[in-house]
Amino acid sequence: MERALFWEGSVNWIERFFVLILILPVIGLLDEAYGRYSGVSWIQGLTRLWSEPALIESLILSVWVASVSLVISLFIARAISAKTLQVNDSQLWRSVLLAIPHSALAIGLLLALSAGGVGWRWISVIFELPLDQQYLFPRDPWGIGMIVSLVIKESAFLIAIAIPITKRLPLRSYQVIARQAGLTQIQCHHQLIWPQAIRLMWPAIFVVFVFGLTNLEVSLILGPDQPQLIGVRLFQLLTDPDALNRQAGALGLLIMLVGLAVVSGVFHRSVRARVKDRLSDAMAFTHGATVLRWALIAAFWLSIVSLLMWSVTMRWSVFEPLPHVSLNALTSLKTLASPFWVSLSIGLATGVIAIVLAVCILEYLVSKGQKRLHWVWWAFLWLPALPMASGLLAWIYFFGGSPGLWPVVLGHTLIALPYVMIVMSDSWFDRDRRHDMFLKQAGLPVGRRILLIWVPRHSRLLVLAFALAFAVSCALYTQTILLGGGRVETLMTELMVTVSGERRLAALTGLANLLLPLIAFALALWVNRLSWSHRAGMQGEGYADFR
Amino acid sequence: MLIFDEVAVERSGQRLFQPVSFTLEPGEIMTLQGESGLGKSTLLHALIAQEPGVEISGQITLDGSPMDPVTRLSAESQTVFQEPLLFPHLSVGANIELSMYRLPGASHRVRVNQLLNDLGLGGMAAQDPFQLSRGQMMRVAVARALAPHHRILLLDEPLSALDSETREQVKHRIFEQIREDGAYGILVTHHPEDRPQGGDMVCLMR
Repeated sequence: MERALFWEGSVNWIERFFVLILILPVIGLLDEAYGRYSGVSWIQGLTRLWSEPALIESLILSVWVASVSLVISLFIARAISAKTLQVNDSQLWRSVLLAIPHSALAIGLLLALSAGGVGWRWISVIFELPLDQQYLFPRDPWGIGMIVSLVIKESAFLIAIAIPITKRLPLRSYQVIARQAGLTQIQCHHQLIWPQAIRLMWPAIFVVFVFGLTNLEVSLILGPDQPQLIGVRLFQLLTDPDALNRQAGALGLLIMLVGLAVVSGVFHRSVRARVKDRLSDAMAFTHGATVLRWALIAAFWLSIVSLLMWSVTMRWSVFEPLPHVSLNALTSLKTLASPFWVSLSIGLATGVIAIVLAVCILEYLVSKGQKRLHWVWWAFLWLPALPMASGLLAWIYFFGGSPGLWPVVLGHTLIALPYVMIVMSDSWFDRDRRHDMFLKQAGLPVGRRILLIWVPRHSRLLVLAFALAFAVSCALYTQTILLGGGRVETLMTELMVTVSGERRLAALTGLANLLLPLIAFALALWVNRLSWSHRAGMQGEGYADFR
Repeated sequence: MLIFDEVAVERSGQRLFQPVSFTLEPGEIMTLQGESGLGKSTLLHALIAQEPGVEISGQITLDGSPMDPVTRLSAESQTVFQEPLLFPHLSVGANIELSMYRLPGASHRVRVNQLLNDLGLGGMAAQDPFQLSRGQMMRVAVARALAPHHRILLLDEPLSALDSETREQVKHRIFEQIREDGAYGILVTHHPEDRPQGGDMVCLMR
């Protein structure tokens, strides 16, 4: 019996409340699109939208980038999940994979592969090409730079979702059947396991498509000489001082949402209903996936090396393969102090609020006998960041508020919460009901049960989820810039500003943005390990009820 | 008196066993015996808490008062489950103390140590429960259920993980406390040798 990624039954009052939160931004957009602020009809807004030059070209490129990056990511996820099914600490890897800061990696990739970049200098030397020419990213008509940057994040996300899903299947039996049929372990994964996983994964696949289609950060990082994706075009309209342009932007977003709703129906039907009538040639796929996997790993490390090298570069002649380095280059770190503290504060606030909300909501859902997370939580990830943030902003204005730090924390929490719920829900729903029966008999009130039992018992999961929420917050750009009114400076917004300026500062900002979530993960795990070093049952994933 | 009158359990509309009726005087134990999968454990669980899809029918009265349909018998009972179900972040002593949460007084530690001594686990209160053997963990679970002196003790195959010598010791300690406290015991088991000796009752479930 398939155990789907989410539950499609009736919603309770908490889920209704979050559906309302999801709908409110769309209503806010509708209000703006209808002409509340511009004072003209929506038809004029639509005319303004159509008059935007090369809008259709941007849309076509966005669909291309989203589709190709999704296909490549699925290909890589299939290959890597076949190798990682035996991973013991799935929660740790799942959280780390979900927290990969793709924007910082995109900067690294840009600094590696653009003209004068680390990788390009080395490749030029090897193949004796002119060093001062630009071949790769400028006017990149096929969006290759964006596809590579997106694949790093998307494949990690798909692997993070695929591993727990495939572990729900009777893997041992499949492997026995496959061995008896003469299939190798990899063939067994590709022929028997992955087709089932992909049917269950369609919500996550759709998240990846939406993320690729509407991504702002990567396109902005790779620079203004790139053809712009539809998300950037609509963002520019939405943040324009002219009310008519904002109305056109809101209309564009609404049209995009309708389009995505249609695409989600297609995804649902095509992925879930797909039944193959013959086996594929698994080995051909395997070789292709191996090449892609190594290319991805190379791009990842090239990006990290590039960030590290540029961070400490004092001088680097375009004709030299290696730079003159000095730690004096790190003096630019002073300029990052303020965004660092703001990122830290917003990340901590987001993490704490998301964890408290998730624990309370999951505890309520468990008490009502719910066994799986409702699709509502996935819907938060399906709604693109741009309409969500701009719709929330419209409501903040409607209630007389103004953009600032707390609206940013609210926006970050609404994105971090579903991630936290997805990571925590399995352990919460899978716990033994008899524990609850015992606690009821012992007479512990609900609040005490949470504080004395469930929070310490799941402490490792909670610190991992906290670090994930922190990492998600560090990586958010659209919410920060829109809900902060451009006045809230985080490492992520700083990254966008520095990318078009000096390379050293851009690399340092990227490195800080990359390291901050990793430090949060390391600290969280270390503190938890230290706290429970005297308890054998709290080591590892800490779920054993008995030996 | 604890009275079960035509009590049956239904799961998803399906009756699990023929209705059972019995009356227990203080200090008496009813043994529910039957094949695996009959619903004996489900009955015990249904006496503690409501479960989705599980309905309990018939009348249950404790000292003349009918069982509350929501809280069931949870406030008056303690249970030894088939598995120890200890909390890994608490010491052996803290796991046992947890069951005395509603009881006032500062003598919880004394009670914990006394029970551990009685069950052959003397001096283990500060230990990590997950460093004990399965049999020792099961005895901690028994101590946890005995600690608060509740009026009803629900025993879901509590002796199955124990060797024969320990089995007799633990069995004796459980039944002794039920008799001394004038409590009511409901024991679910497959094994006739787990039943208390003497005039207690057995219900063969079908």
